[in-house]
Amino acid sequence: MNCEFANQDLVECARRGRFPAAALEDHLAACDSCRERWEAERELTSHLRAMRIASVPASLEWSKAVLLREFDAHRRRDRQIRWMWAMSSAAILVLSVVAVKDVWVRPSAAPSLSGGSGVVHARTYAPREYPQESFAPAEDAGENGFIKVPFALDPAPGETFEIVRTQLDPAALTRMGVSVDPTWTGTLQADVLVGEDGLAHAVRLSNDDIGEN
Amino acid sequence: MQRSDEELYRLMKKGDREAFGELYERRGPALRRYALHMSGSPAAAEEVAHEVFIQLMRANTNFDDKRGSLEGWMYGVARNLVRVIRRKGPVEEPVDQAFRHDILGDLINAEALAALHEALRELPVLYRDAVVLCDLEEKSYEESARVMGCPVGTVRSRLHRARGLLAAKLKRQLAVSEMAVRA
Repeated sequence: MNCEFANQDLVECARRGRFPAAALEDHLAACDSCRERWEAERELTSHLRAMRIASVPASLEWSKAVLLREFDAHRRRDRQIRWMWAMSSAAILVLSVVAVKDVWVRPSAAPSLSGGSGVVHARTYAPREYPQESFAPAEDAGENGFIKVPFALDPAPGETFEIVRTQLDPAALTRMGVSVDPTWTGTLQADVLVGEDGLAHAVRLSNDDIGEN
Repeated sequence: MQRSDEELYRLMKKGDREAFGELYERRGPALRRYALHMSGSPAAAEEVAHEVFIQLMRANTNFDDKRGSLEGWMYGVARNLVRVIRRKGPVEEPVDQAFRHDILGDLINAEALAALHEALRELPVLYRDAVVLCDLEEKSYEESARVMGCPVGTVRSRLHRARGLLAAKLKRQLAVSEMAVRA
């Protein structure tokens, strides 16, 4: 056995507190420097063990108590954060439902022309503004005979309207607020003032061409 | 049957206070010793051990049991923290000084321990790491290699070299102390 192998062996033996094997014993008996190293390694091992024992901290319980308080504080913070996320998610969900309901399920302010059996454009004029009397109740109907469709929005300043001539059945007329004989089943030709929103704002019954009005 | 570190960690993440306490009792003292020997400062050692467990509590901790053991992760964090502390400058009261101030203790043992602490502090950090992990914390070569991030053979050769240097330094320092006492 040479000194290089002997040194490796004796360090491991010293670390683990083992007696050297026969081959190492023989080398140590013959080699002064390796024997000196062996003695030094054994002494070092005993000092390191003493150092390990001396390093045991005395204040373990106190440190543990401090860390446990930190642990509890972390848990409380985590719980608060989870609650905030849950509340925020719930709020977003509620707002989404309300928004969807508001945008997609809007109650009709005024009837559209879907009740008619067909839309007949006998003649149309370019969209233009109409006087306020065109949007009055039946009893206040103006010269051009237009009657405001119930619940229709008032015209916005500068809003233009288009006359659409169409055939309206009793159901469509009733939706527009026109009183109809319940036994009547036919259709009537009507001129409908359609706003920029595509909805009917006023209606008049007509058998004639649209004419200037 | 004793629960593993990883099992305690999983329970701790679910809010089990007892699991956290058990993990601290199991690993806290060793981490503090490790930090003490690596930094040479009891105050720094306390701070490092505390911070390792604080990082463990955090929700975004980067421990992954597929990549290694929890113990290895904790030592890795402690090493990095000690490195940061050492970069800040010399410690206020090195532990060897603390031993020398113990006039009530066994003078011979205290002197030897103080000399060993000083010798350890003077070792290059790579060698010191090997001695602290393998001899003071009694970790296997494989565990130490995982913490140090190097092959097992490297750990072994560093340890052997470190012990040779320590033994020589210790012998010199004890001889100097003995001469001072006789003078």
